[in-house]
Amino acid sequence: MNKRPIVLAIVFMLTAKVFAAAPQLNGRAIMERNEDARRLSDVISNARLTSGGEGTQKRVKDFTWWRKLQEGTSLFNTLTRFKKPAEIKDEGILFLEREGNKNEILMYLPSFKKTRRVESQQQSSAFMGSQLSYSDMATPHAADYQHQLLRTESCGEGEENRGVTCYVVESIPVSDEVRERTGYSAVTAWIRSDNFMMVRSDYKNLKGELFKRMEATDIRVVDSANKKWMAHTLSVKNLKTGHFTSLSFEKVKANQGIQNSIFTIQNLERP
Amino acid sequence: MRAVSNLFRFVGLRHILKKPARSLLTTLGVSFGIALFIAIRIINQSTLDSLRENIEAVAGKTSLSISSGDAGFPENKIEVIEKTPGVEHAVPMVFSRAFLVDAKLNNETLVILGVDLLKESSVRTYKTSDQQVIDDPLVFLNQPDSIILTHEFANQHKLGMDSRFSLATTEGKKTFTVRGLLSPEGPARAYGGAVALMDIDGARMTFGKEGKVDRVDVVVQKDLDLDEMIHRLESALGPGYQVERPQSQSAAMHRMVKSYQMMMSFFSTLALLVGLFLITNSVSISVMERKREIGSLRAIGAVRSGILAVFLAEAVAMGIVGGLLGAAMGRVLASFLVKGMSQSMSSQYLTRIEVSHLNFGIQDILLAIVLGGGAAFFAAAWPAYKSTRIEPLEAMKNRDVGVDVAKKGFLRFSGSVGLVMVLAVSVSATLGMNQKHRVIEFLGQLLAILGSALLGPSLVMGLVRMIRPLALPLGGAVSRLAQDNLIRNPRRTASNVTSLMVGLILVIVVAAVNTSFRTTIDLWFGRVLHSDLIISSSGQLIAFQTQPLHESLAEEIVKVPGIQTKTEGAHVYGVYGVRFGHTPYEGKQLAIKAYDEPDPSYKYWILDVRDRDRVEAGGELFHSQEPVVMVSRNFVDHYDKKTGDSIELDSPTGRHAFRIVGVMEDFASDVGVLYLNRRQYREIWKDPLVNSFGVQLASGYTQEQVRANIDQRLGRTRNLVVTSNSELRKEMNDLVDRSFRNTRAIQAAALLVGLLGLLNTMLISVMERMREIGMLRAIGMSRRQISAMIIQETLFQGALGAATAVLLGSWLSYIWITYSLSNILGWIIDFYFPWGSIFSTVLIGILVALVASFFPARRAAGLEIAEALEYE
Repeated sequence: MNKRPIVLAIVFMLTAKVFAAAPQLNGRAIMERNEDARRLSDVISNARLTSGGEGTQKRVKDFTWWRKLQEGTSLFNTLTRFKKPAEIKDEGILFLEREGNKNEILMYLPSFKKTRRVESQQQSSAFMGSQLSYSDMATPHAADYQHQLLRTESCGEGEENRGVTCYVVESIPVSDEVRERTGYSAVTAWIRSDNFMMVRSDYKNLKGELFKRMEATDIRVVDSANKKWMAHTLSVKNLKTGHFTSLSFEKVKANQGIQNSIFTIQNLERP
Repeated sequence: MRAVSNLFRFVGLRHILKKPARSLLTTLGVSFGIALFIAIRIINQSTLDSLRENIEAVAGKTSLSISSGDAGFPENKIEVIEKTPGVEHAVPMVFSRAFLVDAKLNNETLVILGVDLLKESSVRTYKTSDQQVIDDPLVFLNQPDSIILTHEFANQHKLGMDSRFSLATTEGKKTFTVRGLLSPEGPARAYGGAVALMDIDGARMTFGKEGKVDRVDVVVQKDLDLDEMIHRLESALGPGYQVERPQSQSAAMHRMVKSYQMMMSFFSTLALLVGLFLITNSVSISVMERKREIGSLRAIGAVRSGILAVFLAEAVAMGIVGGLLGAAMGRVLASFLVKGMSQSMSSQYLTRIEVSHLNFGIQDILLAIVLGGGAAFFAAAWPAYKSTRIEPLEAMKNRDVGVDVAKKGFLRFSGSVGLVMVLAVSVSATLGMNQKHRVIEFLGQLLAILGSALLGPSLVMGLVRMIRPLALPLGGAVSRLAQDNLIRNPRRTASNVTSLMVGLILVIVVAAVNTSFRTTIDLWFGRVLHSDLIISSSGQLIAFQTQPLHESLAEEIVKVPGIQTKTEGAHVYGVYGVRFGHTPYEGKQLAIKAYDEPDPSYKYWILDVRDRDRVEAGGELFHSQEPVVMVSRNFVDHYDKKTGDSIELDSPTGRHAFRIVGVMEDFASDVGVLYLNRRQYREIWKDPLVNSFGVQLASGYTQEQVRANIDQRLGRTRNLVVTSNSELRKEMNDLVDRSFRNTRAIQAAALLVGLLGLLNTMLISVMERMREIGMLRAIGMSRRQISAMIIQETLFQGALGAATAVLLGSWLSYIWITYSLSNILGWIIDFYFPWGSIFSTVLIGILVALVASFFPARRAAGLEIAEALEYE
């Protein structure tokens, strides 16, 4: 009996076992899956932004949030309309993502009945006094970074993540433009291996110092047909100052057929 | 060389140490002169540095700044700028100065930078300790009352986050909320921390600049030629816009304060000159006193150059020590003078100038040493040279000192030379030659000072000879002896009073400039100020340092009971607004005053027209359809224009030609002042603001009644201040006084040096006459009588010095004010004789002499007869 096929089969089985235990996706693929998992065609939600920290007053802002995927692209338009507190009622921020880091951010100030443009250089700075930057409010795109899978590990001991394995991916901006727009020199993300949603991200500033950590919780399916997910709570902490921001969404409705006219200056100026 | 060194060590240095009091007095005299010079230099330099730092701090990464005068330009021009090829970022700014209106903070100002915080990071960086400038940008941007202060300012005024305080705005008093605090970095370093940030829209709304920006800061793309970019932007914007580098703004500020700084430097140089005379005097006396010693040295083989070197080295040594002392004293003096000088400049140039820190470095110390040593060398050169002309044999004979040396050579003709210089300067100035070339102007001033100094002693001698027949019969024996001492040796008397005389001349020149400024402006004010009441926001009305108000306020003021109104056709006369501002012209900033037409029945008294009928000129100014302008006398002087000529002015609406309809007097700018009809100004500059409103009282109303009515109706809500005609006039006089306050330090320093000079020479005089004093004591004169004799002698010298100073000082001031001041300062001022100061100068001269006499008198009275008779 020729034993050669048997040996080959054993070798094949053994190597197959070894390959199956190793990650099958590289960093880029993981992040593309992550982007895909949260790519809703449109969504409306109420949201609450809470900021605070040592030596600062805790501030709460309520707003409504519209987001829509631009046709044929992976870019989003987002409108944020503030409802509370009274000093900022009807203020609006229109975020129009553009190719090539040319995002447009327009802000409507009802006291002056005027729309103002946020300069591109400003986009890496804090979003309205929070620990989130304007670029955090935009959707990160896998193509803007070079990704490297560092390791896999447990996603953590939290109830939501217990027993789930996470890919730990380091992402480095592909260009100076992206670095300048985001203000980050590197982002390390913990991506759940089951739904590819990010549960934690560590951010390094342009000096290469770790300065900010974001944690996503309450991750739910918001479009079951298309398997789209959304984290309903984002918590961001500045590791240098201890200041924090929490962004929580409620009454999230996906696929509502939001009109494109929502994302125009005319609508921005018509609270 | 070694021989000279030994000579200095064993003769010169020994002499300095042997006569510590004289050496100290001379050194102190030099150090006072240098201290003042260095103090003024430190302040001048620090002022320029502060102005530059302010501009740089606010400029940030700006490559070019675009502006269009005080009134600002339309914000739609930002788009034109942004679209100009090569522009990377264009960031707008509204600039204003706001007055704090809370009682305890009154009259303090804050520089308000109205910036687009959503674009600012392209140009400027703001920091706080926690790296977050604004606590809540959403609230900050949407609330017009939001303001960001510096930590420094907030701490000074006990303000913190969310504190509220009030500012005077175009719409009246308004309360602001602190919504951010800045660390002292970037723009927060400017203006000594008295700077605040507002969002541009809030600032526009608050300070009456809706739809406008004051400047746009541009960052150009890398590696682009800035000159090319200036050209591109100028072409894109058209005429009426200044595109300049931030450094050019520093240079413009430098040009602005240059004249004041030059005046202060000129006075401080005069003070140094007084110190120079002190050295000349001291060395001259030393030469005379040591004639025998010089003879001995020459007899044992010392060469003439060695003797020369010894005296020069002695003087230079004292000069260097004086320089070192002067540098230290100058630094201290600067810290006392800096605030006053900054205020003077702020008042004169109608802009806030603050010196955040004084720059004092090794270069100032070196300069003081070089100045001390150099001045001493220069001052000692002539008497030192005279020392080399002493023949050994003649010297050993020990003839009366002070006769032979002084009578020979140049000194014999110094008076004549001085007179020729004085005459030459007079002729040159009268013919206007000094105005033709800067070099002639400079030479004229130098000759005037030198001529006065050389002529002074001769004048003293002349005076002594004149009073000789009159003086002797007066007084008792002691007085006659004192007079006789003066008359017996007029040359010594002249030499004694020279330092004091030069000091007093300086006092008179400064006083004459002050009096002439004050009187000229006061008389002008009397001619043009006829409004019963002037209404403005709080601040300093006379310097136009007030918050501009909106023109629509006139409609409310006119309704106040007690305001005179008159209707002519569709026009209602009653309240006339005045807008003050600046406009660029041939690289300099001219002052603009745009007036509403006052009631013509008052014959346009606001215009002090100099070259034609006032009513005719006023009629043309206010009723001409084409753009017209009235120009000040100093504008005509600087730009060689006359009535009928045209000038082109840049404005946000482009370049416009204005026909000159008259030449008037105004002192708001050292470059020139333009009067415009506010109707035309508003149309061309698109500026609806005014700085003040003038009103006349209706018959039957008193000033107090109308003031109360205005306060009651508008004052509280609009933060208005109502000033009467006489109050404003007083404010003007105070302003002039404040501008000259610091010159008192110069006068004091000059007097101090003069006092030291007289004290020094009197002490030497007593030493010279020890034998004589001994004789007088031996024949029965009491110590008290000796003391009285010396005191009277010194007093006479003080009076002589003062009399000569009055003569020469008056001449010098007249020439300087009439022919040179407009060249140096830019203002045309009439000469007014400072009578009050003349009397006080004579009195001060005598007082200084009295102080200077105390020590020599005590010394003379204390001499023992035997010791005095033995003295050689």
